[in-house]
Amino acid sequence: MKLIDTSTINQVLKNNISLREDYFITPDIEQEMLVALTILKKSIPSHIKNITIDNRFDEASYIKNYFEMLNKYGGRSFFNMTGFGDISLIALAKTILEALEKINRQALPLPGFLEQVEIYVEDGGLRKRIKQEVGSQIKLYKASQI
Amino acid sequence: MQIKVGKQIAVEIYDEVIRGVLNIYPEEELAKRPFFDDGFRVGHISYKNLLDECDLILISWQMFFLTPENLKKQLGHINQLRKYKFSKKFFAKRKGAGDVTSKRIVDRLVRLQNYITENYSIPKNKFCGALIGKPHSECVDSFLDFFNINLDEFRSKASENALNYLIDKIQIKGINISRGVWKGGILPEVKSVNSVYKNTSGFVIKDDRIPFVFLPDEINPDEVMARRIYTLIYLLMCIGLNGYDFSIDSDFEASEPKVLGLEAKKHDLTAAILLPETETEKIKNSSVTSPLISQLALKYKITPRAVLFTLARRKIITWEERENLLPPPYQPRKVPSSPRKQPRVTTIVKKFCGSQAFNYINDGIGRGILQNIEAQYLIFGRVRKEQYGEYRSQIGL
Repeated sequence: MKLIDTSTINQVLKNNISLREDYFITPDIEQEMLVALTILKKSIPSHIKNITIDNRFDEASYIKNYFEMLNKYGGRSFFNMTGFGDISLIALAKTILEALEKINRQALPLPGFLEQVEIYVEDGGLRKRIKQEVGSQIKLYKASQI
Repeated sequence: MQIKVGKQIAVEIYDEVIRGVLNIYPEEELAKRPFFDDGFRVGHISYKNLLDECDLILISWQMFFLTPENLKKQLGHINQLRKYKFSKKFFAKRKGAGDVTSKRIVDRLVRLQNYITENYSIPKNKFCGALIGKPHSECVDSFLDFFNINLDEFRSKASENALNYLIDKIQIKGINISRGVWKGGILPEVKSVNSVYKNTSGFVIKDDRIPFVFLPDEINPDEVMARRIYTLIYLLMCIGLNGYDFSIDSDFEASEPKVLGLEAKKHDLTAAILLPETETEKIKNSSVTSPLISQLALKYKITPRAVLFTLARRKIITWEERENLLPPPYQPRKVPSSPRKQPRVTTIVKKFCGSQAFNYINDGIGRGILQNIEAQYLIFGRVRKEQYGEYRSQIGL
């Protein structure tokens, strides 16, 4: 499963990168992208999907993690309404990590979608926060590596 | 209160945070809304329904997810910014049926006014204080000259066009006129809030470079066209006479300063502009009847009540005669239930923000002074990305 942030989507659009597999985004990131795409008169590439449409997505767990991350980290502004895309991505990474740990605890075979989780993030601060939450269990890449 | 996804409990949020967020605009009484009321009763709400509700009340859902400490911190930050923006602002209002001033609207307009004054070098507007110390008749002439208003032309128009004529003339001279609108999600479109706004009166926010006038228009059904016209002229008298009755503190609470006494003068000048004394002198010795009042109201585009008030002030009728001639209280017309075409987003924004502010916003977006998120807050009071895209496309950006 591959997750991407706003800067990675920008990288894809800017360089007309043709995606060959599915990449997932959070609802907050999708919202952030909408205006930029409207202005650019482009639509989100079909391989970029909102995680909520995937039936493997545990929304309740994601919301719990969103609540925790929102209160744990700064960098978001309720005055300008910025920074929520980052919070949502950390929450999603943590949700996936918890799913992984649950599977490990129960000694179940790893489902295909969790075998390799990759997150593409450009911002150094956000990379650091994701690492802090999920350690090395999820691979992190820069936007340029997509 | 628990947040549920389907039947599953996702997280428990703090009741005191919910109440704190719903009290940001206390006059709107959002906590009484059935969604939250029911939620408190049963102890849970659905996540999806929370998002829908937040979209209606124009408050970000994330705010409900904060801890009490973080909410306090966030509100403190917002209030600090407001305090800075409000510290030297004064405003005056024309009392309406319910004497309400919406903190949400004041907040929005001050944000717009500050954006303009902080980013553009605008000279002092020459109308600010221009009527101070001038004799009555000179005030009327100065007003008409400054705004280049031709009263015959004004009176020849139907009421709505007459109001628009005045608004255009006034805005050209650097006074921003913002008008209440329901459409386009500019203000929360929910019943409890509507009942607050319907009592909203007109007001003016002082700024010597770009004064802001707010006319409630369609959000207050008591504001018939003739009353809107009177309100507009009255508020301009506040600017011309530098007659600001109230100040707003950091908590948006209005208080009366000690310098008062201009109320009668503001009304007298407003009446002198709209209903010239030469005209009322003509009926000095005639019998003043209800049909005559209606005739004057129609001709001079003010309400029959304003005509009677003016005649009594000018001693053409006694106050007792005025009481006897007062028409029954105005009953607002019921809004037609047939669906009306939604105006263009730029039309709605221009009406609510005022044409001066509208032009500065567009300039700011075009020149990159305004970033997308900030622009959306100025325009819609929240992030509305799809409408913002439509807006940009309509202004050709």
